[in-house]
Amino acid sequence: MKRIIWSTIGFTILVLLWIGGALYVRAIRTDLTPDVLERLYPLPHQVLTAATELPWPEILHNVWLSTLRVLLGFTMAAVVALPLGFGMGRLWVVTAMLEPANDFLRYLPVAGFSSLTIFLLGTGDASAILVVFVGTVFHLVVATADAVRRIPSAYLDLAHTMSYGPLRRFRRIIIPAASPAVFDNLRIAVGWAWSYVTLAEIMGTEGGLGHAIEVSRRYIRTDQVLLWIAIVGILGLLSDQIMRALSRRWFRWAA
Amino acid sequence: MGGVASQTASYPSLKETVLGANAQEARGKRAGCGAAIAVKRVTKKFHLAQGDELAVFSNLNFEIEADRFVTILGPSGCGKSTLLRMIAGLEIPDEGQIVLDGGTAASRPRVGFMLQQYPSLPWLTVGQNVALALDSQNVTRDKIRSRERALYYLSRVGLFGWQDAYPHELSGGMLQRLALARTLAMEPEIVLLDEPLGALDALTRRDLQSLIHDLHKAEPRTFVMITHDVDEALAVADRIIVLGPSGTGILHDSATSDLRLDRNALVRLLQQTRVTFAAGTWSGYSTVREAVTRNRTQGYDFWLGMADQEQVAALRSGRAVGAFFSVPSLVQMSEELADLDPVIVHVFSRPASSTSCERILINPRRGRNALQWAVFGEGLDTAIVRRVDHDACPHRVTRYPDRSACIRAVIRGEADACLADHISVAHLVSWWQRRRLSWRPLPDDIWPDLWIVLVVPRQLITERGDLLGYAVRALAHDATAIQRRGGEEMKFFDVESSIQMLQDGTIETAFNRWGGKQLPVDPNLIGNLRSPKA
Repeated sequence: MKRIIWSTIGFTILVLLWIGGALYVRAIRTDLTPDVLERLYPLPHQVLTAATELPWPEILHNVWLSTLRVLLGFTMAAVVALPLGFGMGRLWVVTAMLEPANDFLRYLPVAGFSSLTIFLLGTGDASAILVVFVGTVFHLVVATADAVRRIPSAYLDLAHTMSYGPLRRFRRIIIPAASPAVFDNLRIAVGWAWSYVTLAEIMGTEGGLGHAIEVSRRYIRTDQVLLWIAIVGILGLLSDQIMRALSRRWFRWAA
Repeated sequence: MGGVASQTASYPSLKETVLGANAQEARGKRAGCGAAIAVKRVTKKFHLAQGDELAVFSNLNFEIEADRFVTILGPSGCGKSTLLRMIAGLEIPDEGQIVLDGGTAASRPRVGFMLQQYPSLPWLTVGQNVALALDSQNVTRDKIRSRERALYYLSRVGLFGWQDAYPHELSGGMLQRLALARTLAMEPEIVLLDEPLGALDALTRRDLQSLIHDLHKAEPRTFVMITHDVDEALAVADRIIVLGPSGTGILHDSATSDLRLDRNALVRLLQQTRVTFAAGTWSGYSTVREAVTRNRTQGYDFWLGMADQEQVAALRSGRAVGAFFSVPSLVQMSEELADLDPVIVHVFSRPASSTSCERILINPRRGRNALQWAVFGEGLDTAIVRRVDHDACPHRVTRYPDRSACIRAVIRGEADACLADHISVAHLVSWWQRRRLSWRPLPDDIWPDLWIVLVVPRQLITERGDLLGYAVRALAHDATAIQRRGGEEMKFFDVESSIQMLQDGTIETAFNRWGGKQLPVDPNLIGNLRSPKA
């Protein structure tokens, strides 16, 4: 209960800062007419009005497009990164082969890639999915390898005393021991995936929440821009909470 | 499930049916066989930082007969766990071999190893944890049968009914029971237990000790258990092996020794193996690289709490490997020590040798004056107490209004002064007091007679170098136990003559001559300290 009260207070302060900031900027910018100022620096109630004005089918369509892209890009990244990460965590050969290249790639700016993918793959879903993939896969490889390396050696000793072969050790010990941490990394990666999909859509991919942000900006509908951004935030939070719940359910032992 | 429960009640007949045929077979095969475990000329080294090597075992030899219960006792760091891991095949000896059951690699007997930590897999239920061991031995692939047998072993350790719980729902004692059940479920011919009861409370320990004992009596197998608890060893084992500090090998083996050691004798023996020395360390100990490759080490021994003359005698007779001297007394001993060709291997700052002063350090009065002698980050890590008068200690500490007065008094030998380690002081003083103290740091090179050097004959260094280096490092780190005798019986020169020797260079000459790298005391500073500016 106390927590809720404090959360409410924090949220209220945020909204008050918003209102104060908007009103202040409106007051000091004398170079623009009041109606332009109102459009540029909207107040909370304007954003809420925008929410009622926007047609639901459009919102849902954009949400659906972005979610699909996140899911596809992220799943591809996981499918590629997890085996590589497990390999890197266990086998030095794989580490030696992949780690330097991976470390280089993951510091390349995804935004730069984004313009390239649109140039190469066009403005369809493929470019957004590729941006999400590139944005998450290299970090996931590193994080998975780390999780595998952190498995307490006692578990591996245990496998040895039970004369497990490499395959059974992998299936029975390494995968379950690493999975809570790996899943945690996936959860964090989903957050990035939402940022990257928005980025790709703003950069030029057709449709989706990012695209909607870009369109609203073009029509100087700051209230709508804020609304779309809030929707992305809510979706990110939602996916995070879902993954958290799954993690709690599947890996209760690791808590 | 009910069926199984009623079956376990009729235990003797069930044992025949539930125990795997191969276990019975193996037991029959082994009956009358000699040694279950033969450790033959085993040498094991570890590579330390800085390229040094530590020989944990050199040329270790012993045998364990089948179906015996052996406990291995020893100080921490002596290599007990390493030995067990080598028997289990988790580590490979550098030289020599460990033969199990007289067999070869092809017919390697099953070894159940109960580890000290993480004894169970947390993502499996209790029942699955036990079944895992069955599966691993390919005892059975039949799910129902494997579950039945898992239940049998759970009931043997008193965990029946918990098979569907997860390990995190069990208490510490129950977890150890589970680990025991899993180890037994492998139907091993050799059971290795690595401090299985280390983290348990006394009652649970007692409980599990008798359980382990009963299990061994009911189904004899070869048990090897590591413990550091003499009572535990006596309670369960029919043979006790005491290992000395790393590299020493076996100190006592109840099977081969003529001596019958009772509890007290065992405790004494173990205490002797522990070399502790409470000291702050001056960061410059010289490593003894010279003899890194020579490991034919039989043992080492540092003697604390002896008078200087006694120490020299012990060194000369070979009873002691090293001796502790204060820097000034080293100077005085120069003639007597010359033929031993001693080398300074370590420099310690002097330990808090008096219990009363120690108490002051740990529990200083909260008054302002009691905090005047804290030093932070000055290279003196641990408490230093200069004790002039045993009884006067607590009183004299608080008499001086400020730290420089205290230092003056200490230098003149009128008072006791305390430097506490900064962590404990941090608990005791407020942040502004700490700030104030750190603005006025003490020079870290004061009080020449507070420095103690560890002297070792050069020849011994070439013989036992790496081991000695390790021991010295261990000493440097182990500041937990304070040997009361250490300071009291050691001869310390009075401050005036110490300073005299420092100032005319006698100490420095001797220190350099014996291989000390840098004298921890700057004679010039001593002179300044004697007459500090007001």
